[in-house]
Amino acid sequence: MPITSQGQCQRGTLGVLAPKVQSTERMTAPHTLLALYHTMVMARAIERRLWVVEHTEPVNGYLRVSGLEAVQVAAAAALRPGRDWIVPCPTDLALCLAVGLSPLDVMLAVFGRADDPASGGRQTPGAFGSRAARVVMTSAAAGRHVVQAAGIAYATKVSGRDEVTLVCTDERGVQSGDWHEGINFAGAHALPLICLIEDRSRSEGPIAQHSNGSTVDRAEAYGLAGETIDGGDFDTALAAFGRASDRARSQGGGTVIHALAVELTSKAPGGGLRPPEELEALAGQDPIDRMRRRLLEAGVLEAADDEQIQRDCASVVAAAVEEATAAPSPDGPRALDNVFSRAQEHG
Amino acid sequence: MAEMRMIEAVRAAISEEMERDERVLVMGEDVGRKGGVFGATDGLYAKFGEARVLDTPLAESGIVGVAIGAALNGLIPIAEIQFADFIHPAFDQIVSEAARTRYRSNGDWSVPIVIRAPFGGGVHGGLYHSQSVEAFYAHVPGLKVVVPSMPADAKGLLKSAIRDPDPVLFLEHKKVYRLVSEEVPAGEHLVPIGPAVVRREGTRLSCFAWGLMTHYCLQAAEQLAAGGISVEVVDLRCLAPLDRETILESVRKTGKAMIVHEDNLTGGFGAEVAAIISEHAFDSLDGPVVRVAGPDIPAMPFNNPQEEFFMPNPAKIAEAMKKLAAY
Repeated sequence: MPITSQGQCQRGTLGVLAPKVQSTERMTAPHTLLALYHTMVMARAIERRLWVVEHTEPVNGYLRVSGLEAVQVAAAAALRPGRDWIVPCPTDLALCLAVGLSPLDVMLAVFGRADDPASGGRQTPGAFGSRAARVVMTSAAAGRHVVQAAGIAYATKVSGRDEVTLVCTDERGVQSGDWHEGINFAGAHALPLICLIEDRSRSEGPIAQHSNGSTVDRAEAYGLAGETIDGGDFDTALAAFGRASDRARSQGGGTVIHALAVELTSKAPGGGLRPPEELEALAGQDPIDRMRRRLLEAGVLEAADDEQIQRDCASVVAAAVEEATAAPSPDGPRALDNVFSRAQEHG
Repeated sequence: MAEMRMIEAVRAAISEEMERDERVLVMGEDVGRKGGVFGATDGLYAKFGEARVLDTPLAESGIVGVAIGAALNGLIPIAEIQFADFIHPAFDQIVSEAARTRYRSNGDWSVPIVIRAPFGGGVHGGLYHSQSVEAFYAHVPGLKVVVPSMPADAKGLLKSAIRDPDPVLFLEHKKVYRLVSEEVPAGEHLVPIGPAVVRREGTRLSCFAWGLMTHYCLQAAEQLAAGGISVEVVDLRCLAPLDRETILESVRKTGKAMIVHEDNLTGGFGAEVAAIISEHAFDSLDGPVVRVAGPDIPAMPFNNPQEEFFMPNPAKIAEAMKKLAAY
């Protein structure tokens, strides 16, 4: 299938595929892999473009998402968009692109435009959400959403529905009290919850914030399964999410997936890549490079096709920037909208 | 109609709403097998089962956070915080999450939850079982704050809160639970969230209160009536949204205003009521707007003399009423 038209990108990789039932076979089919690779490249293209936009436009668009693309599209591939729940954190750009977010949606949020479908320009960029897609809009407070995800999964369990909830956090969220309260609750009730920890701290050396035991040890102590994976490898991640979703769907309880990933971008103001000597030490670990090599070796991707994908993603992102730049801002007094419902009762 | 105390009215409201709508569930510390420390959920565990009457860990942020998530996925949770004194760990989940979800998503998401919490002093609860927390939360747009003082209101307002599409903090004064009883309408008795109610008509001054203080103000007004001073007592019932019209209408009639609350004075909700009166009924005032409140100390002491010193009571309120009436 063609995967480079703007229209398809704007509906999201898996939104295009709209699978009724996910399976590893389906998710590793050549056209699916190409679509997921396309999403990874698109996420990277958006991040790179935002570095430029932030220097030329009065916006706050810096999203530090590089290094997480493989594990995020693998997570999306293991879920059923629109049926399973996703509770993302602000770095989950590739994940949200895979389940329906478009580059234009991202740019409308970056520019704070009225047509930003997630929040009408209210939230800072990175707070993606859509009720229709079951992607929950979260706040900027790390970890708060983990306990909420446990509540979503509890509702699934008591309702007897076949749903899985994926909640994502970076390594800092694991330190929050709400992570522990949420994971404890999920363990106590054997909830169909997958907690993805997107850990890029190893690139900068470990941070001594707990005395002993790995994140997986702590997850298991709360009664969840846990595994640490190479988050830069798509196949490894897809297999882990497959196991976790199988466990969740068979009433086997929750799983914490601790994904180790590389940090490719600088934490300096304005973003940008890390210094060359640091990047050199990470050579070969960029998840997009790894996915590209895998697809080239498997004959799924030709070099010329890859160049076309890169060009098309850059083009789509540039068009999204142009359209968002021209889009109207919300009216000031509309800030008063949606404090409360206008309805007297919920449905 | 049946004669009920407030604790029984609360229980009836929850039970009826759980029967009416299978999406409704209760959760909190000891709400299940024990039936709640005050008995508000007594019998519900046997009636509705473990999944809908959920005993939770002693972790208030988790209780509210789980309730938020369950609401996002279609349930209507009633989360009980065992004492309002322990609600503070959940402040972030209530304020930054529940109250802002509709707003930050521009109306896409909503959090229809009720958070019930017994509050208030006068029961020798000491620093950590006596607090009044309404001012913290009435400050938060996106959150409704309801404080009933009578059993029938407790039932009708709680049923309305459960059916409300937005988060509601429902504060129940623990001393009122078994203080008074009255006839409570059976079945579909709904009291809208917002309007205040005039509990006693009067002409010389207006007194505004909520929770236990409504009862104390009524007792004080009775004392003053014996001396020929007519006091109007307005039970606000809801602090957010606040019924400004009833407040202003009363002050325009009497020309004098007093607000009574047991929360400490500075930054208490009485300050907001006083500001509204000063701004919108200034021309009708015939005296200063007076507040009777707890002193500005960290919390209510356990020992008897200091608890009595802290709490407004009918005698203190009556004295302040006489002084204002004579101004």
